[in-house]
Parts: sequence; structure tokens; C-alpha cells
Amino acid sequence: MVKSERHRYILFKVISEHIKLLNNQEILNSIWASLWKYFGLKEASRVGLWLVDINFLEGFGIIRCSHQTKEIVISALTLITEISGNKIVFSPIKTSGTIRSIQITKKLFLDRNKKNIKDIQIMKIS
Amino acid sequence: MSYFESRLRVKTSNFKEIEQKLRFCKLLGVQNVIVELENNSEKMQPDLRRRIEEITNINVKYRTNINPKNLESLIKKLKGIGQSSNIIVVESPDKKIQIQAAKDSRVDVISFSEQGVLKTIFPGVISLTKQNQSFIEFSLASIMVKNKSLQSKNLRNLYRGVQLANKLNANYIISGNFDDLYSIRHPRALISVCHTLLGISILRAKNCFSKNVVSLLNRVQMRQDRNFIESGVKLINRGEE
Repeated sequence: MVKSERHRYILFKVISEHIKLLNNQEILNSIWASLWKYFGLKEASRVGLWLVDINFLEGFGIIRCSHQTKEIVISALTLITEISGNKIVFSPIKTSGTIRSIQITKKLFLDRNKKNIKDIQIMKIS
Repeated sequence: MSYFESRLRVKTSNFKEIEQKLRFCKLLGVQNVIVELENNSEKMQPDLRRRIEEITNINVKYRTNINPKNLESLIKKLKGIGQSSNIIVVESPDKKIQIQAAKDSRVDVISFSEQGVLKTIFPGVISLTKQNQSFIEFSLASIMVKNKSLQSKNLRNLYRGVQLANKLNANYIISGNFDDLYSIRHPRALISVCHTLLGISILRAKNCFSKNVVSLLNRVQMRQDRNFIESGVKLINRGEE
């Protein structure tokens, strides 16, 4: 029997230059484009990418990938600089093996960073 | 493990920019930053240092970059800042200057951040930095450019430099050195980039962003300590052979 592939969930921060709501497809396309650009077909085929959650207002997102390609996905996220002319930063915060623990981390992160979210908004306005 | 952003260039004349960059680092979750002050960086006003420390609770250290045009200017500049508490970094495409800087115990880092300088890296300077327990610096800013052909060229040069340093088991650090605010990245993310694109093992990449930087800071501290005796030096009392 084929052993099922292990997953990794990556929680990342979203910081953008302007308040502009992008749709999920645009985000996925940019991640795929980055994966293709830097790692090519061979690595892109192993990734198994899935956008679990993204929230621009709270400034976070969660993606799922296979455990073997975790570093590749983090690199691809790091190397994205803009989407549709809007400067954007995807900064990985935490990686986990289960959706449950990443949700707990997300909750903690949101509680702890409420002040920082205010900072993001101040930066966007200025 | 706490990671360092080893090179954050800011202009002393523009305090708003300093504030913005440090707040952005805080937003990304960067805990330790080494700031390079452009313009009159050698004589830093104590007031500015206090104002920078008041911005956020990030651990801020300072570095002084020297870009000498010739050997005489290097010696002259080092005379002025030998006792500085900042990290002293020399950056030059001239191999003679690189050798002289690597021999000088006042110099903490030989930087190969710029593309023109990176091409000139050679085993001799790596060997001298190892002897002197100083460090070599690489930067990732050059691979974040938009132009694809330039980007691949820069990546190739960086790969060559890093592989040479790995092969010779050099002491090296890696910095971001990003100019644009929205190009700044968390060091943990840069570790992944180093691992996947530059072929550095995860452990070594982590050392480049944390352990080696801590060693560098210890070196700077020891340089200031007048009672510190370098390894290999033996003190002999008068009359003793």
C-alpha cells in the first residue's frame, strides 16, 4: 500500500504596501509563479500546494504543502516581492504538522500581535 | 535561537527612514539588527544612538563600513577608528586591500556584499580571515532584483563565492542588506533561501545568521578589552626566559 504523504502547514504574515484586497487565486498564482521561476517543474510537482486560509485585514495566511518541500515553499514565499503592482511581503512565522496546532498558533499570534496590526495600518496610511 | 539581520543600511540624515525600517523589522519579528549608518558613521552622535534605541525594543548593534581606495587610505581610516565599539567592516574590490584588511586584527569583517567585490573573492583572503578569527560577509540583496538575467548572474556569483567559502571551511556571515523597505525579510526565511538556492546545509545557514554573528560580536567586545591577550601570545616576566 502506498504510504500517505505527510503534510506541513505554514503560517505566514502578510504585509502589503497598500490596502488592496487580492483574491485567493492571485495569491496562489504568484506562489506557483515563484515556485516555477526558482525551482522548476521537478520541484513544483512535488509541492502539493493548498491555500488553507488567508486574511488580509488581520494580515496572515496558512498554506499546506508536503513535508519534503517545506523549505522550498518558504523560499518561494520569501522571494515574492509584488502582486499586481502592489508590494507585498509573505513572512513565514511557524510551521506545523497538523492543522489544529497551526490554528492554535494563529490564535496566539493574533492575540499577541494586535498592537502590531495597528502598526501595519499606521505604516499603510503613512 | 535568535537570528540577526547583519546589515541594515540607514542614512543618519533621515531619521524617519531609520524609524520606518526598524519598525518594519519589528513587524517581521526580527529581534536583532546590526545597523550601518551611512554618512559620518565613525563619529556617531550619542543622541542619535539614544533616539534609535527608543524606537523599538529590538536589540540594535552598529557597524562601520570602510571603502578604501588604496592601502594608505585603509591604514589612515583604521587609525581613526581602531578603538571603536562598532563592528569594523572593510569592503573593497582590490585584492591587496583585502589581504591587508584580513591581516589587521582591528578589522572584524571583510565584506563581499557588492557584486563587483564578490567576484574578487579568492582562497588567500579566506585563509587569512581564518587565521585572524575574523569573518567574511555575503549578502542576499543582489538576488532580489527584478531583472531576470541580472538576477541569475548575481545568483551564480553568490553561489560561487559561498561554495568556495564552504569548501575552505571559512568563518562567514550572511546578511540581507536590502535597500527597499518591502524587500526586508526575516532571517529565518533567508535561511531557507540559502539552503534551497545556494546549497548551504540548514545547520550551517542557521549558524551564519546567529552563532557566527554572536562570535563576531564577542570578537568586537574582546578587541575593546585592553587586558585581553590573543591566543598564541605568551607573557614572559622580566628575567624569565
